Amino acid sequence: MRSLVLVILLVIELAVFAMAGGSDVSSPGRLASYLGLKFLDLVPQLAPVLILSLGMTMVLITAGIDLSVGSLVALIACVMSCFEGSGLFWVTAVPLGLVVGIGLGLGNGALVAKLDVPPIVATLGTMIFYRGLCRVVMREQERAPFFEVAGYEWLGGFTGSLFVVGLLVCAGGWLWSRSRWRRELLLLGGNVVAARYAGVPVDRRLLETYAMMGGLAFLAAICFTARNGSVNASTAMGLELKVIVAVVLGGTRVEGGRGSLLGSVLGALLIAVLDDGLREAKSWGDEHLPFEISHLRYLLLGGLLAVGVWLNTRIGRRDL
Amino acid sequence: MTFVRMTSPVRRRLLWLLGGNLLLLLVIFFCLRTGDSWAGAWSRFLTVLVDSPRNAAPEFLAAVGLAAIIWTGAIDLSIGSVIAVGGAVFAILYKHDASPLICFGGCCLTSFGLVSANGLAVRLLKLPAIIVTLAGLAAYRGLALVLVNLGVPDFGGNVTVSEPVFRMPGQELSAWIVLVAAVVALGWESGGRLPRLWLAHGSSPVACRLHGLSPGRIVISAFCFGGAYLGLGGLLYVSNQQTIDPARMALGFELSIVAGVVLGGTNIFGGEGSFLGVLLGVWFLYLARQALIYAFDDPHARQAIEGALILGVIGFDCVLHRAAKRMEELK
Repeated sequence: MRSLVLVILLVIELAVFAMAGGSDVSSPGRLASYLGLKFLDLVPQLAPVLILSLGMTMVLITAGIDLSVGSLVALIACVMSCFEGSGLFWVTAVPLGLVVGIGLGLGNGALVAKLDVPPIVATLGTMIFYRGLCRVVMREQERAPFFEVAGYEWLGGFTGSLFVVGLLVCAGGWLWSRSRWRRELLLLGGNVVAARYAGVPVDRRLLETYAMMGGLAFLAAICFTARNGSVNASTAMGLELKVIVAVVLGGTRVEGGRGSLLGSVLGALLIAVLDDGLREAKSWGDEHLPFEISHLRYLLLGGLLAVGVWLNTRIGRRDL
Repeated sequence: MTFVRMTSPVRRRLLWLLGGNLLLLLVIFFCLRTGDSWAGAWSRFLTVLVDSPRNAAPEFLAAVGLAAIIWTGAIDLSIGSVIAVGGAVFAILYKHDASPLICFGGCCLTSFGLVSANGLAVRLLKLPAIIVTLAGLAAYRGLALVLVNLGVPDFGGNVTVSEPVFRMPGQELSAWIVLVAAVVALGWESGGRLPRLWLAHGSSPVACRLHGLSPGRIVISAFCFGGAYLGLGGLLYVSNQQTIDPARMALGFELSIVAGVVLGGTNIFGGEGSFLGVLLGVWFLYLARQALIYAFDDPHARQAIEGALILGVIGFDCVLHRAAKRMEELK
């Protein structure tokens, strides 16, 4: 039922932006070609948000939150950009990026699990800390070694992004839905004391979840840099907001104990369609609106979040 | 009296912060001392000390307001965007030749209204405050941009406020406003009933309901108090700027305020905290920033050190009462 609400919202969004963008969707054939083109356009664009939203779903299920993902993606990208864009990049920068991602994710996990720092506070601190490290690494520079690396740009195109995202969603989703790990995270998020009594290694599960978030931040950084080609200290600023909105919109409870990867994928799609639609409707906005249509992005993002979560809550109550 | 009523983690955090602030003051003093006489260093040190209520005025006021909201177990993540809307209203009124008092009133009331509306939305929609205000964080920033585009003819990205009279609250009166507001908050905390109800609600909303109190009203009153303080803080923030740019104004402001409030011993899940701790926490962050400016020539490292400092202080404190918390959890 929740997914149905999101699909309906997605269809409404697509229809509104198709009309505002002046696209011809008058026949089924034209509609199919419009949707095909849109899909080609959207996949590389939404890859980082979608990848991160999978990890954020797991983190929120444990009753945690990770506000540092945007800074972490930026830091991984900044560290990788310090290497020269040659063939060696694959064996130097990429593994180092992975180590930084998982290591800093583990750091977040250690703060939450071992030091008992509330997740919102721990990741707020690391968000500021990682962004500061980005500035230490990059200074005022912008570096762009990524397109010089053979085969790297492919990951930012449609096929590469679809491959990464598809593999993660299908294989990861299949494993996730059947794993004991998922049930333990749900129990942990629902009631941590009950989870301890049930023999769930709570600290270890938290460490694993945050480390996985770090690993996914590495993949998001790869997709991001492979599409944009350059990076600076302000890269991916505000990305965490989009990710959290996507996940919460997808029906994951911020208090933990409930969440769905499929919902998060649909939430990420909703946000990507919103971003893309507002870009396409620019000429319509210039004609009909007394302000720039891009300013509506924030208003719609907030409205979408409030309405989506409210609908989800209503449906959740009825389901109970 | 208030100190005696505080829980031991809050008392311990207050003592930590007092020590930390004194240490930071010493660091600043010795940084100023380098290559100068004692008298010169002392005079510059006094300037830093006297200027701190003025320079950190918006943070002090916003933190007190946000602390009240957090005590009830709620949170308001939209305060940066609320200030941007207040700034947009200020800019529109200014551009339409409104008097300074109307500009100040419009800015304050807008912030107050939006924060109170957040409280009302939390109550009516029965959604977690973090969700409502996360939506507000995005929506209010958009609202500020739309408003300023509609209200200011030929808006070119920002509005310059050149007349000194429009900048008086942020430039000349801010220290006095902060002092009065802090005394009112501390006095109310020690003698008033409502702050105790906010803490009680944060500790257990169920117990409050069973006691015959209205949890909804308690939460809304905290948002209204927060709105009043944030409105004042927003006015000081906006009137301290020479140009009003709603797209960038107070971007990330909520993060530094949350950091200051938490650093001050307020439990992020509600039910614990003190205004004195919050003021000391915000002052700690301000002094840390000043110390970093004097101690490090490299501006790029400052943000990283600031983040590490926040994590260090909170992490250390959490480690100290981890065992007690775990035992309490398993009881």
